[in-house]
Amino acid sequence: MGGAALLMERVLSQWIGGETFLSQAFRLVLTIAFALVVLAVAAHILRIREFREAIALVLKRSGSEA
Amino acid sequence: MTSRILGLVRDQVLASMFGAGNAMDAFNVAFRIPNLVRDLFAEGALSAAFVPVFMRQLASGERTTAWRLGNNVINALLVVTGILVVAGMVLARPLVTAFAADYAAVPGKLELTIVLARIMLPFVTLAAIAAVLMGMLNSLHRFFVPALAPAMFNIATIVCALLLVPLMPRFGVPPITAIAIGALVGGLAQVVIQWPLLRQEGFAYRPLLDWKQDALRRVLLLMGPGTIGLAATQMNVFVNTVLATQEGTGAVSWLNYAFRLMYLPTGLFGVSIATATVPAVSRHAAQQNEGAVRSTLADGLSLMLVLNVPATVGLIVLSHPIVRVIFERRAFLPADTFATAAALQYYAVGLLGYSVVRIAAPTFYALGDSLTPVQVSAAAVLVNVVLNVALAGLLGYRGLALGTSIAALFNAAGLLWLLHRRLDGLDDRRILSSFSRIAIANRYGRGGAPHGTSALSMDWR
Repeated sequence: MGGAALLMERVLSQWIGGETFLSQAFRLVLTIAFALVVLAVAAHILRIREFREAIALVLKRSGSEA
Repeated sequence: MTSRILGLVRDQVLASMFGAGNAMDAFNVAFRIPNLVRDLFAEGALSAAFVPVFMRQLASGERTTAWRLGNNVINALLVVTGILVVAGMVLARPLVTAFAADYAAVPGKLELTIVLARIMLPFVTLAAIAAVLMGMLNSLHRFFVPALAPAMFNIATIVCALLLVPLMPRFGVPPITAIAIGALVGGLAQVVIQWPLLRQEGFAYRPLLDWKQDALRRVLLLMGPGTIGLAATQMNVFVNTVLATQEGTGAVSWLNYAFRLMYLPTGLFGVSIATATVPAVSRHAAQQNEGAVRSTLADGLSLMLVLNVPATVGLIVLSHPIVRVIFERRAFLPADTFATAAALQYYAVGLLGYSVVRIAAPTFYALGDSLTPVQVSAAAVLVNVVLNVALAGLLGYRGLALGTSIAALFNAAGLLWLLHRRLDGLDDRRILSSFSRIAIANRYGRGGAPHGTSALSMDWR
């Protein structure tokens, strides 16, 4: 995940140039989203069942707060 | 969570208006003085001691006695914190000088810190009363409005920043004074929002103060161990502030911005998992089922690992873009982004420690042992002070972040080790298996950060 985030951030810095807030925020959101997907895939391959449980728990709490 | 997000918005507004300059440094140091006392009366020992006693009074069916205790505690706080506030205002100069003697080197900085500290000192009384109201409402199963109270503080600060900051120069007052006034208004808002609901429940304020009331004495007695633990923590805050103020303009602010960013995942993941785990652990402990305590604890720790290891890696790798997107505008300059990102990388190292403590410490309480967490916390504070003094010499302000992180990990490791002994194991194989697999999933995480911001490769002193 860490490697994916680093790579994505560098690639996006070249692809999506610009130093405005919107372009920076867009790059950051895409990077985090990509890193999370890589983490989820890695967790699935490595059969880390706790990952799914933990995400469900956090989403449940966020949902109940909202 | 709403409060944490609003806290982040508040930080964004302050960063945009004041960056990490002398005014922001002065505000951060000035706010630490009322905070030292507030922790004792508001968020620390008092709340933990007051709520169980108040609930027992309610459970006995005598609301009048419970209201009497509420009035007694509120009035006792008015007297005690009132004396402290007046003493603090009179002794503001020596107090601030003890914290930030080096600020005298910058013309006007020490004086500004003193003025801000004097303005914000009454916040202690307001925060303490707000905490008692929150405790009373929670005991009455009213949760929504008390949960909004911390958010009110952030909203008031943001509104005052936007409305009053532009007006301050017209009165010949430094703009940062508006933020100090905002903090005070925020404290008042925390009280005002809760008061009507408590009146609905039947509470009426009475100016009575009966030091001989048994329940009040019980509250004071229960505050004992918490106060000792807190004294060690406050010593830690004091030493860290003194060291940070010696690191030049901006250091206090960079560390403050970075710490609050690091604490966001703890608030989201740590609290979510602790909220699910701690009641189950308490239930099994009450049934004296150590096997179930061990298993539930292992579940909670495994869940904590799979969320916090990626969060740590993410904060380290993406520290620079995160800080830049959130803070870098107007007065918050690119140099502040680099410096804050470097501090964030070092703080992120301790994220796991902060989260684990949220499960491990309450487990001791559930097992009927309130002394061990306090002792381990005091030992961690000692480690923190020693490390910070040593590392500040090597790494500057970043050494303070690293020392704090190592101390947090020490605190967590100490608690887990003692729990391991107490429970004859902790389902180690399962926890280690989760940790190793999630570490593999996060591999290359510490390979470096973009734009050459690797914490180890930069020297921002």
